[in-house]
Amino acid sequence: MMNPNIHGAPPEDYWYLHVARATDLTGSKRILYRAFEILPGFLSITTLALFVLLSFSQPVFAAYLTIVFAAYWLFKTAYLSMHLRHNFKRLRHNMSIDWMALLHDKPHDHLVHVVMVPFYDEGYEILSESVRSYLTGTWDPKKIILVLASEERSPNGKEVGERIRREFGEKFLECIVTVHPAGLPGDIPGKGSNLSFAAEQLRTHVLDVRGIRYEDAIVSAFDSDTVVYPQYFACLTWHVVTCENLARSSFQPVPLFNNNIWQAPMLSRVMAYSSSFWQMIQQERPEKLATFSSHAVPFKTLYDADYWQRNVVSEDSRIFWNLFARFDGDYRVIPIAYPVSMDANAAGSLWQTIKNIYKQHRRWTYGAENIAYILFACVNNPRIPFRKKLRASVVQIEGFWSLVTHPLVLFAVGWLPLFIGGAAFHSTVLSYNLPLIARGFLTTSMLGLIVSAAITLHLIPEKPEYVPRFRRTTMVIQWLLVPLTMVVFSSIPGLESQIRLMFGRYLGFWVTPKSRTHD
Amino acid sequence: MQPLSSAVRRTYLIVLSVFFVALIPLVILYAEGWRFSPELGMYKTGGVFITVPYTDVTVTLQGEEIGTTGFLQRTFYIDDLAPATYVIRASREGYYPWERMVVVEPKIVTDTRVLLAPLEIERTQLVLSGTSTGMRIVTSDTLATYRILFATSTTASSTIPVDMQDGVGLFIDGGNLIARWIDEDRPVPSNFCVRPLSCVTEILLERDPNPVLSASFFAGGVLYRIKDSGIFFAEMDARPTPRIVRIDTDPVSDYRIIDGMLIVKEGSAYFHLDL
Repeated sequence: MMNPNIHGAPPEDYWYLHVARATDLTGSKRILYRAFEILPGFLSITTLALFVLLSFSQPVFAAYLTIVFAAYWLFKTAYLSMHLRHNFKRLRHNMSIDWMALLHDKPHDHLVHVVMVPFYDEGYEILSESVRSYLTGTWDPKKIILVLASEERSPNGKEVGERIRREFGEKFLECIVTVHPAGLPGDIPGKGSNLSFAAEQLRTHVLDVRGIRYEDAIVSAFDSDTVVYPQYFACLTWHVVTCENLARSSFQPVPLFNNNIWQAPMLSRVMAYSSSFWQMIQQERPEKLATFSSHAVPFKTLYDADYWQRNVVSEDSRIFWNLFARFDGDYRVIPIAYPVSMDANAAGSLWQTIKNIYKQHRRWTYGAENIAYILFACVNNPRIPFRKKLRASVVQIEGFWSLVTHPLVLFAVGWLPLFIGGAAFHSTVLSYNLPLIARGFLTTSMLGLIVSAAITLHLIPEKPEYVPRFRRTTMVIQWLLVPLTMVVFSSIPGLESQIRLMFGRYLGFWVTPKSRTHD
Repeated sequence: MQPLSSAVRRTYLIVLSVFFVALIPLVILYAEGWRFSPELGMYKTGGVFITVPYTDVTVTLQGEEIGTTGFLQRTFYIDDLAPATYVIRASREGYYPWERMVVVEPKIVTDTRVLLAPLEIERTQLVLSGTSTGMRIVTSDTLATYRILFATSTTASSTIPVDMQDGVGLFIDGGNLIARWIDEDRPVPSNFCVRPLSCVTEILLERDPNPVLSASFFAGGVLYRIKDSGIFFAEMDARPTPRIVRIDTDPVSDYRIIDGMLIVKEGSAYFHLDL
C-alpha cells in the first residue's frame, strides 16, 4: 500500500538517502559506514588469504575446497544457463511482438516518455545515431520529451546538444539541452549529478510548464550511445500500463553492446556479451535484479527520492537502492526482456581497448559501494521488513564476493596446493586427482559457453559488407577467452574496487570513451 | 511469454542442489583414491606416476601396455591400483630394457623415472687431423685442456661427496659407491624409498672387490670408474632392479664430464661417448 504522505523531497526520516561514503557522516555513524565499506574487501581478501594459508598448512583441505568450488561452479553455470536460455527465448519473442497492437485496448495516451541522455565529450555522430533511433521506432516521437544533458566542463557539450536539438528537436514533443554546472556543492563529476540536475530542469521547464503529471512521465535514463530497437517505447509502455504498482517500479531492458560489435576486438566482444548475458540471467531472477545502465522509472518516483545520487559512481544501480530505501523496501525492477544497444569498448589500439575495458569494469564492480549503502539504510530504516533487508544484503554481499573470489580460486589460488602443498601432499592420490577433477568440472562448465556462442550468433546485428567473413567465426571461438576475461576483467578490477573502498581511496567517475569506425 | 516461473526455478534449484550435495562426498572420496567394486566393496587405491624423458618408449604395467611416449606425452599416471607390488617395464629399440618393481600403497602415488642406456654407445675419437668415420677434429687447445683436466683428480672421502645434485651426494667410502640424501630440509625422494612409506637415506650403488675411483652424476644416472674394471653407468634407485651398464671396458680408461659431454681417455686417445 502506497504511503500517502510521500510527496516530493524525501522526509527527514530519510536523511541517509544520498549518503555516498563514510566521509559524508560523523561520529559513530561514520565508523559504522566505514565498517560497511570495508566489509566486501575484507571478505574477499580473507577468502583468498585463507586459501593461500590452507594451501601451506592444510593442503588436503584446500584441495577439497577447490573441488567443491569447481563443482559449485558447474552447478551454478548449469542453473544460470537455464535462466539465460529462457530469457533469450523471451527476448526473441518480445522482439517479434507488435507491442503497439497490444497497447490498442490499454489506455496509455496519458503517458509521455522522457529520454534523458547525459553526455560529456561524446561527439555529434554518437548522439545523433542514438537520437535517430528514438525517432524511427513505432512510438510517436511527439509523445517523447528528449533531454540532452550536457556538462559545463565539456568544451563542446552544449554546442553538440544544441546542434542535435536544432536538427531533431521539432520532431519530439519537446527537446531541451541542459548544462550541468561544474563544481556544484555535493556533486562529483559524473552521470549521476548530470542526470539529477537535468531532471530538475525537466520538471521546472517542461513538465510544470506543460502541466504534465509527474506520474505520467516515464523517464528512460540512457547513455549517450544507447540506441533503442523499434518497439522499445511501445514495449516499455505496455509494461508500464500493466504494472501493478507503477509508483514502486523501475523497468530494465536488456543491455546489448551491438552498436559497434563488428569493429570491437575479441576481448571486448566477450566482455560485452558476458555483461549482456549476466543481465539476461538477472532478468529471469527479478528479486535479484537492480537497475543497470539504461533503465526507466516514473518521474514521480524519481522526484520523491530527489533523483539520482549526485555523489556516487554507480548511479545506475544506486538509484534502485535509493528507491528501495525511500519506499521502505517496497520497490522492484520489472525486467522487460527487450533490448537496447550500446557501444562495446573499442579504442584505437588493442592495448588502449584493454585499458578501457579494465577501467569500465572497475567502475561497474565499484557497485560494491552499494553494499555499505544498503547495510546502512537497513540499520537506519526500521520500516524495511527484516526479510527484505536480509535478502538484499546477502544477495549483494554474495554477488560481489563471488565475482572477485570464484574466478581467482578456480583459475589461480585453488591450484596452490599443487605448488606449495609440500612433498607429503604431492605424493598423495588427491594431489594427482585434484587437477584432473577440477579441470573436469571446469571443462564441463565451459560447455555452457556453447550456449553463449549460439546465443551470440542470434543477437549480433548483420555483418557489414566491409567486415571480413572470418570474423563471424571469431564470434564463436572468442568464448575460449572467458577464463582469462573472468580473472583479468572481473576479479581483478573487482578486487581493486573493494580494496579502494576498504582503504577509503574512493573512485571517481570515468567516462567510457566512445569511438566507432566504419572503414 | 512469461518469465521463468518461481516454481520452475525452485525445481531447478532443488534438483541441482540435491545433485551437488550428493556428488561432493562421492567426488572427494574418488579424489582420495576410494573405489567401489561389488566384490571388494569400498576399498582404497593408490597410483603410479612414471616419468619417461625420452620419446618412442613403450611402457607396460604388469605386462599391459600403458602407452608410448611422444613429443607431448612424457609421463603416465595410472590410478585405481589396488595396493600391491607392480612391475613396470619400458622399452625402446636400441636400448636396454628397463624394469622397476614398485609397491603401491593406499592413497599414495609412487613415482619412478625411466633411465635408458643404449645397447651400443656411440664413440667418437677426438683427433687433431684425420678423415675416418668415428673421428672428430678438435683444436690442439681443446686437447690441451683435456690433458690438464685428466691430470687432476678428486680425492675420495667418506665424508666429502665427490659430486652433488638435487640434495643427493655421491660418496666413495672404503671403495664402495654410496648415494646419500644430504638435504635435511626436504623429505627423501621416492627413489630412496623401497616402498612409499619405507625410505632410506643411503643407496649402495656399487660394492666391487676393486675400489671405485671416481663418480659423477650424468644423464639422469651415475657414472663411476672401478679400478681395473672400466667405466660404468648406473641407475640410482633403492627399488629392484636398478640397471648398471659397463660403458667402457678398458681397465685403465678414465673419464671426465667436460662442458656437459662425457669424454673418455684410453691411453693417450680421447673419445666422446654419447649416452
